[in-house]
Amino acid sequence: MGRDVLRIEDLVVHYETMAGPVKAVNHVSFSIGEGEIFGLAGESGCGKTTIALSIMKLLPYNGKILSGRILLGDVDVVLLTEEEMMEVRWKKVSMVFQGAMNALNPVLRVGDQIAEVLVEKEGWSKERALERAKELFSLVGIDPSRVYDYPHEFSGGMRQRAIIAMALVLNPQLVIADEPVTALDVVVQSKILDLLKRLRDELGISVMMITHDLSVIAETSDRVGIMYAGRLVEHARAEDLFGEPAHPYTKALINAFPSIVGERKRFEAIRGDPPNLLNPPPGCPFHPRCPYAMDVCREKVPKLVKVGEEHEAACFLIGGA
Amino acid sequence: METLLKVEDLRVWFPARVSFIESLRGKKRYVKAVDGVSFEVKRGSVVCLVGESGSGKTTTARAILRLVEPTGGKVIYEGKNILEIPKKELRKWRKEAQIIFQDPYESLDPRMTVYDTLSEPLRVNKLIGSEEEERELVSKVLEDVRLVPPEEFMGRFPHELSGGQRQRVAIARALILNPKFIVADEPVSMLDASIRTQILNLMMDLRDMYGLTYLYITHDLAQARYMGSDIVVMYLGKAVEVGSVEEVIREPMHPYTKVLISHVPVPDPKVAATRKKIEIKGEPPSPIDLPPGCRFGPRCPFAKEICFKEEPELRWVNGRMVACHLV
Ligand SMILES: Nc1ncnc2c1ncn2[C@@H]1O[C@H](COP(=O)(O)OP(=O)(O)O)[C@@H](O)[C@H]1O
Ligand SMILES: Nc1ncnc2c1ncn2[C@@H]1O[C@H](COP(=O)(O)OP(=O)(O)O)[C@@H](O)[C@H]1O
Ligand SMILES: [Mg+2]
Ligand SMILES: [Mg+2]
Repeated sequence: MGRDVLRIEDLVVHYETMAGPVKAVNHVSFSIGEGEIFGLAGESGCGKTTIALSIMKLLPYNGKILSGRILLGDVDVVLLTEEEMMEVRWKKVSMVFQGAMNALNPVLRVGDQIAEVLVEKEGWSKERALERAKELFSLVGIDPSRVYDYPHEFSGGMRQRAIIAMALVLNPQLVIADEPVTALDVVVQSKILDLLKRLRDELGISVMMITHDLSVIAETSDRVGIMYAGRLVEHARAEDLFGEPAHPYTKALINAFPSIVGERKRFEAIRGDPPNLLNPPPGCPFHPRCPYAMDVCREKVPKLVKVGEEHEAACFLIGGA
Repeated sequence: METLLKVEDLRVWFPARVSFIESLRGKKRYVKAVDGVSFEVKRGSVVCLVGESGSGKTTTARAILRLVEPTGGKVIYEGKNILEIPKKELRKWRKEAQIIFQDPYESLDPRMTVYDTLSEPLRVNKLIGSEEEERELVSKVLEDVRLVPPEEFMGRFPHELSGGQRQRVAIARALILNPKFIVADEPVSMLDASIRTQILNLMMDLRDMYGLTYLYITHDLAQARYMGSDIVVMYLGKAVEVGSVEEVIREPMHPYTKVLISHVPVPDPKVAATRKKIEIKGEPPSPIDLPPGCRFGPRCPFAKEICFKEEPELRWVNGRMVACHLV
């Protein structure tokens, strides 16, 4: 892999609420290399979208980056003003928002919605922008003549392709895809995942693939980060993460995904529910559900320690006190 | 194993909206949500209905429970056609057959406590002599779904429960009338992975404890394999392949099943990298204007001339049923 396109260092993000701060992201660090698909996985509410919105600097008004750095190349976006961010969004990093395919403007032609970005941000003429939209359509596998269609004339899969096309409009190096195939049917889902892989191969872009579904990760990602309760508990190359998971949560999560291949067996479920981030448990956030919890797990937060090449996990069972 | 339920050529057509002009001409069109579905459910088994969204899974289930009136076909339960039984027996059927819905947020009344939700069916069916008896039954069923200690949960409202706990309450409500047959319509698709396994395992344990029979609906083939003994693969309102889960997944016969299985993501990067996907065009059309011949024909990578002329019947091939001219 080439140099890092994104490097996140010790990121802490909270949401202020009437009931107190929601500790959505706690001391998270990871990086994404050039041309790499990095999967960020974890169950709902563990902070995945918050990390994405922090990178884009699009957190809701009550969301605050309390510390840490988010380096896109050598630029720390945490320090940028809103005006400076205008030069970063779309151009260096763009995001496919969760559910965006259902949020296309129903009264505007799909091609115009893509062209609009170029007209407004870059001052392109409408014609030139529409040409670019056609080019992007063929890149993502939609017949270019369909730029004149309205969203309701598109199938679900085509709408998601159009949203991906839009994210590519200003040639970003990094595309963040937040649950890009959730709620799509199996075959459509598989084609969208293939599309993202092909775009990575053809354009050399990096992709941050956010999903709660480990099989989506297994199908696409080169490296994976597993989040639990606002913390990154393990990260590794995909083969290693699935082949030799180190963190008890990662192991349990992998076991929560039955497969159509391999042995058919009953899995042991993880007991209980994920914690509320208003009042996360002290120590390791997973300890109340962990079958191996020790005294130290209730008191201290484990740090990431190396368990293999490019493989780290945060668990006292594997060291790191 | 003995057959508990037999579905024969079930059809549910909904009138589709037609234009004013068409209506003047007396033209009628239908959404053929279910259009010829047949399968058998053996006592104590788990039959999985799988297929993409809109393939008619929910409508099939609702028709079996007579929550929607079928257009045609038979649903034979313990020798009787449920679609023809008188009202009185229908009430009995509605006790014996229960349904668990996908969304535990919508299916529970937000103003009712867990206790009221669970005791209501007992009261409606006048099954209870005393308050103590009622409390005992509610307590027992909460223990069955592992909401323990039961006293801690009885007074709670749905918003005071997690998603997984709500689905447990929904399961308890289905259980409290001592049903024999339970339809579960995507019961875990709104839940997180770790909670999902809890609920799936619970359902399997309850089946063993009470000798239940399930019709389990899911769009997820891996889940069907985890839960099911048999599988019914649906495409646009039709059962296209019916057989044992293991056999169908290992060696699908219908081209649609082949395509579907080849695209199922596998939670193992090594295996995922070696699997071959079968190319297929487009997405399923609407079940209003179905093509002549096989409804999968226009998308089928293997289609021949006959597929566009004659609709294939579901017939027995090597121990399973397949609707395809090519097998
Ligand atoms: N605007 C907000 N105000 C308060 N809490 C929020 C807000 N947005 C998200 N949260 C909370 O922050 C945590 C992380 O959320 P999110 O990043 O959306 O998780 P994920 O994408 O992994 O599902 C959750 O506990 C969620 O409830
Ligand atoms: N009450 C109804 N009126 C008209 N069409 C319906 C009705 N219910 C379902 N449908 C249509 O029937 C088809 C099958 O729906 P459904 O049984 O919900 O499928 P699935 O559960 O497999 O997603 C869909 O095209 C749906 O739009
Ligand atoms: Mg999210
Ligand atoms: Mg349904």
